[in-house]
Amino acid sequence: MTLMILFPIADLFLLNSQWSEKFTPNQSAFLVGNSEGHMMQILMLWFLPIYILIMVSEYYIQDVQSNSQSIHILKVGKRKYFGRQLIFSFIVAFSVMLISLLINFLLVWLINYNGTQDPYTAALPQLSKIINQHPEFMYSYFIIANQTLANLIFILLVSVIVGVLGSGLTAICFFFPKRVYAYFLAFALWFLDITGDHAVMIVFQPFNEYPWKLVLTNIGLFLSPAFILIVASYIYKVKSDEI
Amino acid sequence: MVLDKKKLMKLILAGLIALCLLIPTISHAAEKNEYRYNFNIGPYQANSRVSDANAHKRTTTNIHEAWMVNLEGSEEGFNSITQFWMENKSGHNITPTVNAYSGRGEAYEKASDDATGVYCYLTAQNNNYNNNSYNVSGYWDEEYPKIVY
Repeated sequence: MTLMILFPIADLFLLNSQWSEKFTPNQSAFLVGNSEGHMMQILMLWFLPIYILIMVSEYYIQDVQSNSQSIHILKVGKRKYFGRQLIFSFIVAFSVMLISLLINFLLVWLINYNGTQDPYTAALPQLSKIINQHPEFMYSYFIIANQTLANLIFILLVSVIVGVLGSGLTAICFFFPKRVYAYFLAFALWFLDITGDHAVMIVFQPFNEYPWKLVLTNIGLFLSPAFILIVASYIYKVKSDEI
Repeated sequence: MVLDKKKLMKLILAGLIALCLLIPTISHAAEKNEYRYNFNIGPYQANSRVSDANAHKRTTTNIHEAWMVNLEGSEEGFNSITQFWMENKSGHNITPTVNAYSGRGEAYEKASDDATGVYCYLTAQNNNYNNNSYNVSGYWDEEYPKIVY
């Protein structure tokens, strides 16, 4: 949890040491990813399942290992026990991500308030050359023109996505209550999700060059399997006879 | 007319002062060059830069004299962005970064103070932090006859 809050802060200082000219506050935010090599984004977002699993999602594995899950289930009932685990992991993952990104956004405004470098606005003339033939890129134009709004919307959106990821990881732990399988599967699925043209990483970036249809498709491609996984694990666990 | 030593000295001094005033305004006029580049942009970026043989020396002292990059083709797809900047030999960034849209023409950016008289290496990375890898090609110029602020 500390790591998740520290990565965005470290990103800001790395960004300022790499470039002699400071970025504008909106361009320095963590999700924009203007740092050279995107080191902190890779460390945090590519390995997100590890942090979330350790932080909240493997509680069920711990319960199984210590054999206390039957006591909990007898106490509150199956529905409540598994439902609470899913909701709790959503809330924790969502709020930690939200807090960490908001702290970063606040620091960005405090430290880089006098920044001037803005590569996305500088490239607007290049983008405007195709807007007439391809109106779907008006979306890119709009977010670059309203950067603070875009940053806040994407911070909220990413927090929700990470919250759903937290629930999804808990669902994986329900299916495979063993660390080896759960961590491996979580990682394999997440790497599928951050690879290729339909990577969820494209959604994480506020100022991207893609049409809004692709962004929505990518959100859908992440959320729908995650929801299926969560609902399936809940039904499976509630129906199956564990005690 | 006889030129005595004092007068000659005065003339020489006046000439020197005039020259000193003139020199800063005589600037090295940059030519337009189109150096080719061809990169593979990997997921762990910041190392896709031109080789030593393709580095060029920037002679101007004016940081507002532009450098230029044109991204002609990119495998990343239609309307995709690749970020470019120039580094010195040790990898220190000596210019701000430029976002180039593939196939949208030349992009210009100014340099920083430490870019004078330095061999410049064009460097590129994907602006997205997904783990895609693709090839880009185009041309660039470390010193372009254009003033940008």
